Amino acid sequence: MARDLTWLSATELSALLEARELTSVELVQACLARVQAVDGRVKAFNSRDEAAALAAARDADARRAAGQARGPLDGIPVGFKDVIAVEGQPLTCSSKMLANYVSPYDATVTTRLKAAGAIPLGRLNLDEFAMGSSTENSAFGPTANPWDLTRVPGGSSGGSAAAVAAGELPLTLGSDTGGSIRQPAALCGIVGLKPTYGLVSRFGLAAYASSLDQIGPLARSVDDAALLLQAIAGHDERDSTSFKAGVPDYRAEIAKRSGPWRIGVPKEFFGAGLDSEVGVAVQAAIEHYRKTGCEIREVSLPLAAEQAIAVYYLIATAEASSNLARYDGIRYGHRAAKAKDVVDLYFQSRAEGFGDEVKRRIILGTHVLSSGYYDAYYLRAQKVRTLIRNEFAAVLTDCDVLLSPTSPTAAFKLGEKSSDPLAMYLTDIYTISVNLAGLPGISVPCGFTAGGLPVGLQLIGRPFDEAGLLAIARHYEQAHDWSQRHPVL
Amino acid sequence: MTGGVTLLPVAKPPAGRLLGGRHCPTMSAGSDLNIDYVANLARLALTEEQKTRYARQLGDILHYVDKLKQVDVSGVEPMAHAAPVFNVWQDDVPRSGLSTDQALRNAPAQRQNMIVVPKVVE
Repeated sequence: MARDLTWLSATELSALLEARELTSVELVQACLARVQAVDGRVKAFNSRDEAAALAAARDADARRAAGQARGPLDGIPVGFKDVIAVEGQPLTCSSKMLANYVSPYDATVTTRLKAAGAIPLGRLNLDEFAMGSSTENSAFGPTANPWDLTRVPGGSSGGSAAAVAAGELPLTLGSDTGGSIRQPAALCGIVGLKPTYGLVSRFGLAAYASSLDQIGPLARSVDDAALLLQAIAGHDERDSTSFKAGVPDYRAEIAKRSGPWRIGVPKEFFGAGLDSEVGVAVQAAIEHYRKTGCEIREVSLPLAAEQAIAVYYLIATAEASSNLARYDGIRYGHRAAKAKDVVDLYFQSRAEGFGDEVKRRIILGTHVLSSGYYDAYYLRAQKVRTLIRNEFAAVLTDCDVLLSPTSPTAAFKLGEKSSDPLAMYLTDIYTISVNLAGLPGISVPCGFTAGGLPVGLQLIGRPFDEAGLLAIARHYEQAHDWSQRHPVL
Repeated sequence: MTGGVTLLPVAKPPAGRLLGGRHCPTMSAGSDLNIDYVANLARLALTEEQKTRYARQLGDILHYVDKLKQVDVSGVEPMAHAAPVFNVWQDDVPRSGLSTDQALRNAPAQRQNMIVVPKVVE
C-alpha cells in the first residue's frame, strides 16, 4: 500500500473508505503493523484480538461493497480503555484483581460503536481502576509517552492517549473522573473530550467514582472527537443518571456556531504552580481568540481553584471504597488460594488483587465514610461541591466557555511523582472541578515546550452544549498546525 | 493478623471517636486515622509496612483536605451528582439477562451451576 495511513484523522480515513480508495481490512492491517512496530516501546495495549478485528473489517468492507455502509465510522478501528466492556474480550482495569476476567456483555458505548460499524481493536492500559494521573499504577507496567519514552503519558487514560499519539489508532475511548481523558490528551498532544455528566451511558464501564465518571473520545482532531461522540452519546435506560434528551447532529451544529464568543479566563488557574512554558502557550491561545474578535473576560473561581482537589479526594475515594467492595474473590476476580474461611478470603483476595494506590484510596474512602467522620468529611465535601457547581454556573451565564491550561506542566518523568500521592493529585488541579460540576471539558493541543513536549489548552463549556464547546475548540485548532507534528518512534 | 475469626465482630472504633450519631463538631486531623480499624471495615489485609506508609501518606492528604473547614457551608444542600435527573422509574417489564454460563464464566470456582465458596456456616 503506497499511502501512509499512520497520521491520518478518522475523518480523512472515513472519506478514503467512502471513496473506495481504502478498505477497512487494509486500515486494520496498517494499524496492527504500526502496533507491532512501536507498541513494544510505548506499551499502550493491554490486549488485542487481531482475528476478531480483521473479521469485523471484512464485514465492514462487504457492507460498503453492497452499498450498505452504516455511516462514517463503518470500518474505522477504535481502541477501548481497559475499563469498558467488550463482550468476549478481556477486561482487566489494569488490575491483578481482574487479570483473567472476560466481559460477558458489551458496554452501551460498545454496542453503539459496533452498530455504527466501528471495529474494536484492543484494550488500552490505564492506572489501575482509573486511579492515577500517570498510567504508572498499572499491574501490567507503565505506558510511555510517545514524545519522550522516559516520560509518562498522563493518566488514567494513558494507553488511550498514547495509542492515538503514537499513530497506532485514529480513535480511542477513555474515561474521565477528575481529568483522566483531558490530562493524558494534553500530555500526548492530542484532543480529548470529557462530555457532560449524563450524556454518555456508563453501563459497562467499571465503576470508580460513579458521580464523576464519564466516557469520552480521544482523537487527532476536534472533528474526530465529534464523530466518535456522535456515536456514543444519548440516553440509556440502563444508566439511571443518563440524561433524557435528543443528541444534536454535532457536525451540523458545529458548522452553525461561528462566534465571536465570550471567553472566560479564570484568574486562579494561572497562579502558582503553573509551569511558565505552559502559561506562555496558553496565553498565546487567549491572544488568538482575542485577535479573532472574541471577548476575553477575566473571571474568578476561588472555590474551584482552592477546594476542588480536597472535595474530589473525599468524594471520589468514598465512592470508590463502596464501588470496589464488589471485588471480594467470590463471584469473579482474583481469589486468594489460602484462606481460613470466607471472611479471610475477602481480606486476602483484596490484599493480593489490588495495587498500592487502589488500597490507599479504599482506606481513605472508608475512613471518610466511617461513623464519626461522615459529616466532617463526606457531607461537607458534598456541600462544597454544590458551591463549586454554583460558581461555574454563575460565570457561565456571561461566558460561552472558560479557558485554562489542561495541566500545570508538560509530561513529567516516569517515577518522578510516584512516591508522593499528594503531588500526583495536584497535577489534576485544573481538570478536577469540571467533573465536580458535571460540565463538558476538552483539551486541544496548543503548542510545545522548548524540550519538544506537547502542551494542552482546556476549554470548559455549558452543560450539554458539546456543540458549542467543540466549535470553539475547532476555531483555535483550524488556525494552528500543532496536530501536524508527530513523535519520532 | 486478618483472620475472619479474630476480626468478627467488627472491631470497635477508637475510644472517644464516636461522637453521638454522625455529628462531628471539628474537622479531624490526619492523626485521627486508625488504620487497623479502617482496614478491617474495608476487608483489606495490610502488611505492617503498608500500614506505616499509608498512615503517613494519608495523614498528608487528610491534612491537605482540612482546608475544607475554611468554607462556610451553612444552609448549603449537599450534591450527590451533577445529572439533572431524579427518581428514575422504569416499567416492570421482564427481559432476558445473562445466561447461567455467561454469569458463571468468571467465577473462580464453580460446580453444578453454582459458585463454590468456603464454608460459611458451621
